[in-house]
Amino acid sequence: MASVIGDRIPSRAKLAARDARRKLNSRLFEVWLWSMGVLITLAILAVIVTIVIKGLPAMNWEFLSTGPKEGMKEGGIWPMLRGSILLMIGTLLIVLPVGVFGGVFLAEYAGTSRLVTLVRACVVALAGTPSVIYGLFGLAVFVLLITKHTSLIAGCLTLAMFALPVIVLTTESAIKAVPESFVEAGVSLGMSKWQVIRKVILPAALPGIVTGLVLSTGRAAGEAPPILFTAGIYYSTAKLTFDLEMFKKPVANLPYHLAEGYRQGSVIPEKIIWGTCLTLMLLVLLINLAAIIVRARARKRQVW
Amino acid sequence: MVSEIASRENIVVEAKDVDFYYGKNQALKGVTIQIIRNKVTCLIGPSGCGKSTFLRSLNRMNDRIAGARHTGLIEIDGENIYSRKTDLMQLRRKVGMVFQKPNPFPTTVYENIAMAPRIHYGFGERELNEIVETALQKAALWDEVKDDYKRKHALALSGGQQQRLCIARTLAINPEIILMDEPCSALDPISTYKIEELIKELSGDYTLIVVTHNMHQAGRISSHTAFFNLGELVEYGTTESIFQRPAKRETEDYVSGRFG
Amino acid sequence: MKRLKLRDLPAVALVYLSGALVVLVIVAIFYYLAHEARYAFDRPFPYGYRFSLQSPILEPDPYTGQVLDDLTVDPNATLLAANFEGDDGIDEKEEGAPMATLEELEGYHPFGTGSAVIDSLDDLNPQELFRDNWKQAKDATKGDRFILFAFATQEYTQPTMKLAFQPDAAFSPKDCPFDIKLRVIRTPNGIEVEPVEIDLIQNPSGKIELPTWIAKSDEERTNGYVFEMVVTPKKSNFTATIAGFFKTDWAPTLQYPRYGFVPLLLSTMLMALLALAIAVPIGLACSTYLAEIAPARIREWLKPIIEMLASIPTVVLGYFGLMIVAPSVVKVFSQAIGMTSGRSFLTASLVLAFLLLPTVISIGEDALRAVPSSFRDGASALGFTAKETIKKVVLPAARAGVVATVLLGFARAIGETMIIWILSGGTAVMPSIDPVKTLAGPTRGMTDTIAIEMGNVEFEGPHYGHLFMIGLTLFLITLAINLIGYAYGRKRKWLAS
Repeated sequence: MASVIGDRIPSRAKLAARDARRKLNSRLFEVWLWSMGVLITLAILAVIVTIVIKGLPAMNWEFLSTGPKEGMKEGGIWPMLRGSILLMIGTLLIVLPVGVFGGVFLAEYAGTSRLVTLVRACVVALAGTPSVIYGLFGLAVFVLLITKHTSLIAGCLTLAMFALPVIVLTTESAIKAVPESFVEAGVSLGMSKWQVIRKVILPAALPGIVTGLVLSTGRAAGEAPPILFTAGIYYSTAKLTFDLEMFKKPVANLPYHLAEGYRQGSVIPEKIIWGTCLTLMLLVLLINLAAIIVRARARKRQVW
Repeated sequence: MVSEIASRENIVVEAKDVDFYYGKNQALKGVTIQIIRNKVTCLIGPSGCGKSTFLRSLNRMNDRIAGARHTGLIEIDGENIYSRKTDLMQLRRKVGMVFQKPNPFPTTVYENIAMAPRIHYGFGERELNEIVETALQKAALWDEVKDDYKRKHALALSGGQQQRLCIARTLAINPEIILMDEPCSALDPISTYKIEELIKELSGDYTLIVVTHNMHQAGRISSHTAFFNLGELVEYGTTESIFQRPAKRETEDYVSGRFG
Repeated sequence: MKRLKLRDLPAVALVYLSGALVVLVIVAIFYYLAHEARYAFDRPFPYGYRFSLQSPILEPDPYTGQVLDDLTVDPNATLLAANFEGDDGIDEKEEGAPMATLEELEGYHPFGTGSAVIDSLDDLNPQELFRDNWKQAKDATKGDRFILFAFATQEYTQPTMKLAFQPDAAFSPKDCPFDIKLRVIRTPNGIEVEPVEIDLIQNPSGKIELPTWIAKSDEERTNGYVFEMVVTPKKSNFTATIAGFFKTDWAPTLQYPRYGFVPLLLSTMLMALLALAIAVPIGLACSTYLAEIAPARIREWLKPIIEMLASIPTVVLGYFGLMIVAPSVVKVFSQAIGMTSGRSFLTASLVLAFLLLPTVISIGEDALRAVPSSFRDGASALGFTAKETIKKVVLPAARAGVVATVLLGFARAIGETMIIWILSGGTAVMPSIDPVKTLAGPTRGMTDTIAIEMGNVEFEGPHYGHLFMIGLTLFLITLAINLIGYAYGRKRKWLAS
């Protein structure tokens, strides 16, 4: 029997030339992909380095620890930084139980019916919903409907809603990543479903859950639109008193400060704005770094 | 080992003293073998014995695995395939491969076969039509798909048909040697039977080297059989001799089903 | 698995509650956006026309030397209007200009026009005559009637005079949900004219020629020509509001506000598309490099750096764009496309593209990684080069994932707020057909309009409602895109077998 190609095969020389051309082509393609990867990485590094360089001159302990002076021409940004941290902690406290339980629900209790597929799709879609939409929702519900004015608690609730879908999804996937054998081991010991979840699944999935929590809270801390209409004031020089009233009052925070700064034009000197930008970026970056460390340590311990 | 049947020009693959490592794990130890042209040679042995590693080193698929390295010599038609001059593209054209799980590309049956000859040889539509048809006929798939092979999605075929499509795809690059890595392990008995028939059919024109888990299959399809265990080539000879008169105790234990 | 234990109940209940809450959130967002958007439908519709008598032969004004044909600068013109200036109607008029007396007109203007704050001539009170008549802006379902008096003074010598009319500045009759008609309802004794009825929507400006009638005393001012401007509804408030929403003019703070959000929608979409057109090829190339080519060691370095971009807050990235990117864009393009300010469509799109990179790269990489390695093995065994493997096998296999990447990137792009706010220049204009003009010019999208204007609106008013309508539209668009993207992302053709 003759071969499939038979005598159609090109001459050796032709084939060799063709091969060489293909190899060169492929090489060039790889170089192109490589250069795109390098280009993007360098561009990102350049942006970060620029922000750091521009922000460093303003950066010192006084800048971080005191309030603005001379109508923000001088002084620091402590009240805004403090506000951002408060918002972040509040958000985390609200979103932690709801997000984690929601993730457990999707992963363990919801099953695989069509309705649940739809719910999951909706959670995914919510995760991609613009933050300004959450801002509008927060304004309509937490501000106008419930508290009647902007406040720290309205801001925390809005940011919590913004962070919620991502946390539900990361929790769900962290739980799904726990090997079935762990669950079977738990079941064989006579545990109830909830006991299996609490004693076996949640501890195993904890690093993944914490990573998701921290990453999305960090992202929420840097996001301006949700707090524009719910929690922010331009700036503050006041000392903070820790009591219930604190939650009912609006709070100055870094993203709002920057956004309002642009709106009002050149009130704040450039140097201070860069310093504020750097502070906000570092705040988010440090939070993310914490998440990365948690993840890395968990990976080292991970035995399955 | 097989010197009694192998005249020099009949040997297509020759391995001398091949060691193979994945990182620190040694997968092959001093494998020396000569494989005969246009016959079916089966590589058998328990899991992890190195038979697949050996098979994959014949078309250098192991290059794709990080940390894989080897010592020793592997020659195909007298040329060292691991030499610096070796053209991988040429080697892969000469040595085709069929995998354990059918892996047709997610496109039409026609495209699956036409893609490689178009890329390698630059054939036009008319030539490709002929090649695809011949390849499908040779892979005994033509009768089942002739009506709609230009439109039919490859993944809509049954598992056995997919595997025959993969064989047709390999035939279309004009190989001399076809490596098969447990080609039937994912298939039902009827599909397996068809593939076995096909292997026998092809053996006149191609050298087939087939890794199999299934000793009966080796008995049915091959003229020569090599038994691997723990990375070593334990015994190699005509299939008849391996199954009827094994020279070593290990081989006998394995073929008689006492272990493995 | 053992059945539910009693002491697990609270925890399990909590889990179900959280699940329900997640669902509730989706419904709640939709509900409250729609709920607040209803204020848009409480929108009153303003309108206004100016009227003034003129001589058939227009003469230069004795003081300014200009021929006054534009009634908006004619100090004697009468404004009949329903808009937001005279919010409290009558009070405003008490302080407003009274209808001109003959004495006042003497020497510089031979005509007078005016109105009375009445619905029917029977109620006429000669003490309450005003030059203008303002009413509150109306719901689209409520009509109105204005009365207009017109007379000449004894100084006037021509046999005929003309009543000129035109819409008030910034009022656009075609956007108005009313039928507005001008009729003569009374002619002075002894003068007969053909019945006059003018459709002020179809013919918003023009002149009516009338035989001259002269008022000899202040009491006689109302005995001359009397016109009525009758405003009748022709749409429901709902359809009128929706129709207004889909117009091409966004000017919510004017006296005659216009809430056409089409320019915002188009600008948002076009900016997102341009950003995608830049980010997708570059980003996919990068994800292909990461997923298919880069050695593990390099990938471990590159990925955290790329992810770091995702952790730069968009406010910060926007400021970077403003201070660093915008000036460079101006420098590069000022000659080529006549760009004067860096805050433009182009700058916003460029920075947006940069922002999209981590999204595109990470979803794209996931899509490529989801392609089973058996495809790559097959291609490699057939002797394909890396390029051929990627282009002919991996990318086609990942097509659904790539589509998902583009869709999710698109949703991210149209939802971005701060970058557009800071960099777009903030002018709501329809994108021009001429791409250079569009790119170089300022623009404004949906998100930044919401973010900027929500700070200055009256809560629960029509402007507020319209901002929520934009929000609802944005929510529905991104929801749809995300759902389709999710469906594509889940689609794995090779699993069909």
